[in-house]
Amino acid sequence: MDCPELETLLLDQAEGSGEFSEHVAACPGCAAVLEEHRQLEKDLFRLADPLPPADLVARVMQRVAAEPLPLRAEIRVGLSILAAAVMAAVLSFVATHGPIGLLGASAARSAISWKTSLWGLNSAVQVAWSTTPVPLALSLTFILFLSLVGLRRMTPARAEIEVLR
Amino acid sequence: MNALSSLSLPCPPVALGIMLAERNTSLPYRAEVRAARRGDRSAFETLVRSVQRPVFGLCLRLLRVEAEASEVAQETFLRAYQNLHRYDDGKPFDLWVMAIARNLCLDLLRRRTRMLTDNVDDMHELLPSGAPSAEDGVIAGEEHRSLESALSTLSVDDREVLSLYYVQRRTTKEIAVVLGVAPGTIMARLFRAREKLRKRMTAEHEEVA
Repeated sequence: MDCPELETLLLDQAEGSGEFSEHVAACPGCAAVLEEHRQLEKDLFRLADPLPPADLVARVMQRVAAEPLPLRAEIRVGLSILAAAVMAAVLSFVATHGPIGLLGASAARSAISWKTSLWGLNSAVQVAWSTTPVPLALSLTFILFLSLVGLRRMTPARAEIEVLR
Repeated sequence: MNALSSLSLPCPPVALGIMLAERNTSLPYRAEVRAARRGDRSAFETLVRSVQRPVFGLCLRLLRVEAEASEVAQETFLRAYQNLHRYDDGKPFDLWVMAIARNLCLDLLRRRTRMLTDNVDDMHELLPSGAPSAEDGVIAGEEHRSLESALSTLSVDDREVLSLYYVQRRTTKEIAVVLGVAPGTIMARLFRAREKLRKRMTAEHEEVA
């Protein structure tokens, strides 16, 4: 009698397809192995996890007490990213010469006169956009991306996605 | 003990291959996780109390040394606290923590430079059988020790899958989440691990006989 592979036999039994049930009924060897697996499963299901040390929770909370609060940590990370985005913007305005430099100058003038500032800002943007649109668009996109990442880090995780059933 | 009362384990299947794959997993820890994120440390302590036993149990099954298991369990909860903002609360919290524990155990096992088989006997004293059932009773002490002994000789991969499925009554999908593998591979891993265990038990019985 040709016996099927044990894994095939076990999978067949588990799925209840019964393809090899006739074989098992006629094969004492396979029937004995299946019975041993059944008994082993019963014994395994009776095992239990050991009790953790009595002071485990206290030790954990002692270490947790030394940590910053999670919410503060989140805000700190988010603000760091936002600060990096702002710094990138400032540096790009200050370090860039030519048309974009006008934007930095207009920002400085805003401290003196908001009307002058608005006029200068408008002019600078128009000049910058008409002369170097690609670098300007890339810079703005990069800054926007960093800002969105920062804001994402400051919000709670999503409460959806897949739930195990 | 709170941890004991918080564990609500289903009745064990009595037939071969009944799959624990379709349990409707709820998210009982969501409120505590959100409170902990807002800075409520007592909520985090509640979470630790709720999942400390399966976390420590898995650590001990994998590491086989109580002191190391305790240390890794502590580190697990600390990492969980530090990374609460990364946790997706649409998924079961206990599985997320178990996955952290498993990774830390595997890291430690990789760092080990010597085998720790001499500590297996210590572990046997710590691993109890399940709560006595009126119908089935308990495994006799000697049989229980024999089973634990054979279990401890298996590989880490085999121990973790057997422990999660039979001892902790996790579903195959839950085990797949903890191990980071496809759910379809779990039953095959279980069969192979159980077959190895059966052979070890058979060999042990033949030696005794």
